[in-house]
Amino acid sequence: MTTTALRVMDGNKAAAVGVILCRPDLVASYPISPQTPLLEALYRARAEGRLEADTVEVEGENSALSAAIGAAAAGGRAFTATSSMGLMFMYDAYLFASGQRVPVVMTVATREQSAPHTVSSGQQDIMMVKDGGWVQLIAESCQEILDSILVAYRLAEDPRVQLPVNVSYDGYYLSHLSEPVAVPEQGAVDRFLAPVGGGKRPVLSAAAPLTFGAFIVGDLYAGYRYKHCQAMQAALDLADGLDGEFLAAFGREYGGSLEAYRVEDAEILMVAMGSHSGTLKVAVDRLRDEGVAVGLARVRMFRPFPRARLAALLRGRRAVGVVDRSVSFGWNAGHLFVDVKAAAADLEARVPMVNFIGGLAGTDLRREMLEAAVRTTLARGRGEPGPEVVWLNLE
Amino acid sequence: MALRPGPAGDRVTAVTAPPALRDTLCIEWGACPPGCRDCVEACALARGVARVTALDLAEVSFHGALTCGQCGEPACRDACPTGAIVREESGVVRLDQERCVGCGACAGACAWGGITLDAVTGRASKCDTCGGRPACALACTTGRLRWVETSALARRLGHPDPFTQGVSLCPGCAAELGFRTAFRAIGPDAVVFAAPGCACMLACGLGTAATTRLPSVMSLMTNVPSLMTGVARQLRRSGARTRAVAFVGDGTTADVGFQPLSGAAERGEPIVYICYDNEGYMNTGAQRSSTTLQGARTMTTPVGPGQAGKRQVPKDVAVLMAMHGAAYVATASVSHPEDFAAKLERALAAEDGLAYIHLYAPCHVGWQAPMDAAVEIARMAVLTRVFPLWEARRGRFRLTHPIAHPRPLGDFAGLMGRLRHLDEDGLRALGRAVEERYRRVEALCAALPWQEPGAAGGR
Ligand code: SF4
Repeated sequence: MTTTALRVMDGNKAAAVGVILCRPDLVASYPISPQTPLLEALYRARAEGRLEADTVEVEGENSALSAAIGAAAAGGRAFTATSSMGLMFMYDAYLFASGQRVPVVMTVATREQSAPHTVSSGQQDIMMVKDGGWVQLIAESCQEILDSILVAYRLAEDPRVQLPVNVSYDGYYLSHLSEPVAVPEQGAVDRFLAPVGGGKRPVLSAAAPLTFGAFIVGDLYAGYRYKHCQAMQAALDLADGLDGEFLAAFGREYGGSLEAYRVEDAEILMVAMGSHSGTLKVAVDRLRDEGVAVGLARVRMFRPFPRARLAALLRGRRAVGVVDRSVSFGWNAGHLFVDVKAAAADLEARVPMVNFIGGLAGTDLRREMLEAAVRTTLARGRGEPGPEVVWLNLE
Repeated sequence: MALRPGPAGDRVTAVTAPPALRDTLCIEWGACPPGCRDCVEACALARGVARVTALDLAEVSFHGALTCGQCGEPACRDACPTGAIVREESGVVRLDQERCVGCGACAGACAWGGITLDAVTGRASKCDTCGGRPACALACTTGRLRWVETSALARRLGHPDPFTQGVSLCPGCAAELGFRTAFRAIGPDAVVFAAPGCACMLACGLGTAATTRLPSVMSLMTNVPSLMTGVARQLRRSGARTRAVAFVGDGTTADVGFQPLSGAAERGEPIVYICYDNEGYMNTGAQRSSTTLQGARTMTTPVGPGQAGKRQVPKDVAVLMAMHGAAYVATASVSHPEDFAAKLERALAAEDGLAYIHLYAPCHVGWQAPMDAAVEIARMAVLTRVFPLWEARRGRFRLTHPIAHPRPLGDFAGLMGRLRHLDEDGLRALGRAVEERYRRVEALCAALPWQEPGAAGGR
């Protein structure tokens, strides 16, 4: 473990510091709120000689991700960042990146989707790509943004995984909010990111010609999909062990794919991901003081989904409440809720569940609202009837 | 060329060496000035006896030189009972005077009068091309008889053929010819980028069977230049000289993938982008693209009482690219391989920015023409001014193949079904669009004349 300096910075800055520490070869990006300050910080670092990467000021998000894919395919470490409609505009390249198994890392400062138009915070954007084959980490704090970027490259470049990785953080709540952040030492980061397995992976080179994105028909295609699933599983398997390694190197731990907060003897389990998990922790603390046995399962890795660990946490609870900042149309519930229900299907006994949708378009998920959500969950656990999906701050 | 299964069992590999490349005497038949005997006299003077004949057939207005064509499978050789005639590696059909017994079987076998019995020596006599400096051609002042260095192109395209095995494209495909020409010029130190379309079968192959020796990327239609940006930058960063070269169609280039191309040109990415233009989405069954010729029939611009083919004039992507101030921009045609090769060389040399070549590559399938028509259509497109050949460096233009006296447009339109519905009015309208495009390029050449690299005022 190394000593680290504490600095106050917002989430975008923390992301930029994390990226610089990872010494990328190429950074490509297109401005979109709320990730733009991250991009600016990287370009400034490049101008000041603190970042050696090639920087590409592309003409659109699809090109930002594509340039990053290209650099990674040719053996480099590449980075890009986006939000909301930018993520949608790169959707074809997004799927290409994962299917092509290139270890790109991309942060997403999450934001609502148009229409209706807004630039405000929400997790709808990242949920729109949840099945796109990327590994998805979702941070709770500025510190975790920085740390997750290091973990993201470790996972992405591991030959057992070799997949692109998203690090998401709530737009504005994290991207523009300052917190003290411990900045790791460069040497420790270099050691943590030392090429796994000698860093050998297939790359584009005239010396050993390969076809990238080969045209496949028939049975072979299923084989690629199957291996992609195996890589996802490998990422899940590695995530928890990596957390211990991270603790040894930097003195911080997060629980790997899933953080269990005060879950011991909890009657009620809340499930959430992102910055409002912090507010939920405060709510849990206060309700615990009142004698309510409540805990929180914070999903850090949304893809691959930590299904088994979550099911183990769900087992035996009187009720489970899931807080979502996105909507799955047709299910008319939050995306996380749908996944938690799917994980609960592995349990022998049914657990009552209630979904809270709130914080859309940057509306606050205040502590009192989340405390009320816990109480509602508790009431459901005691058999009180009510709707499965509760909309918080509904006008 | 004999084929046999290769080591993999499922492939076929050529086992015979390709026929020797050679230069050749080129005779424009029947067009000599009547009575001219310059070649005959020069040959007689140089070689003791004339091995070229001058035919003067006034009745049919045919006046021209006649000599040995150095046939690939010479009938004279096959007829010779003594083995005195052999076809050399250079391509010259050589007669060994010592072994010749003067039987005359060769002269009887040759349908061209290319070998004759010499009354003085009693032996056969034929042209041996004077070791590559034929006296006849040197003496001809009209250019009707010329020595053409047909091997120059082969030398220029000095790299091996890029393909490893059969290519699953339509027989007679001009895109395939363009790809072959391009990578025989560029060589193997390149990563080739294709996009969905016919060229992905060229560059990337199918399943586990790669068609080329080159590292290749099957891009999306929407991101070719951006993927190339990342690859080119990373290759440079790692110290490799390997070039990123795209070979993609007009749909990708002019329509759905134009934004990233414009971006890469503006940023000056060091990539080489070849658009093979077959004027539409041919891989999906011939729908119109924005480069489809005005009036052309496609599956989405049909011909009927309500519509007569495509209404709009083609988007001139090459001019647009030149207007970006790209390092190098050119149009080229599969019918003019020397011109294409020279432009590829200049494109590769333009390492300080994006190089764009717009290659005219007719799709005989989508254009409703015979299987062997693509190159002839391309040639006619150049000769009728439908497709002007030019180049530009940093927005400075020159025509590389000015057409002073264009052939009538019908010579082009008549070669394919997609334009056959055009009546006189339709042809006139097309002609106006063609002339306007050609004159625009001429005007650009006049207003922003080409500058050699390093010349004053160049960037
Ligand atoms: S459809 Fe046209 S462009 Fe495509 S392979 Fe056939 S001839 Fe070539």
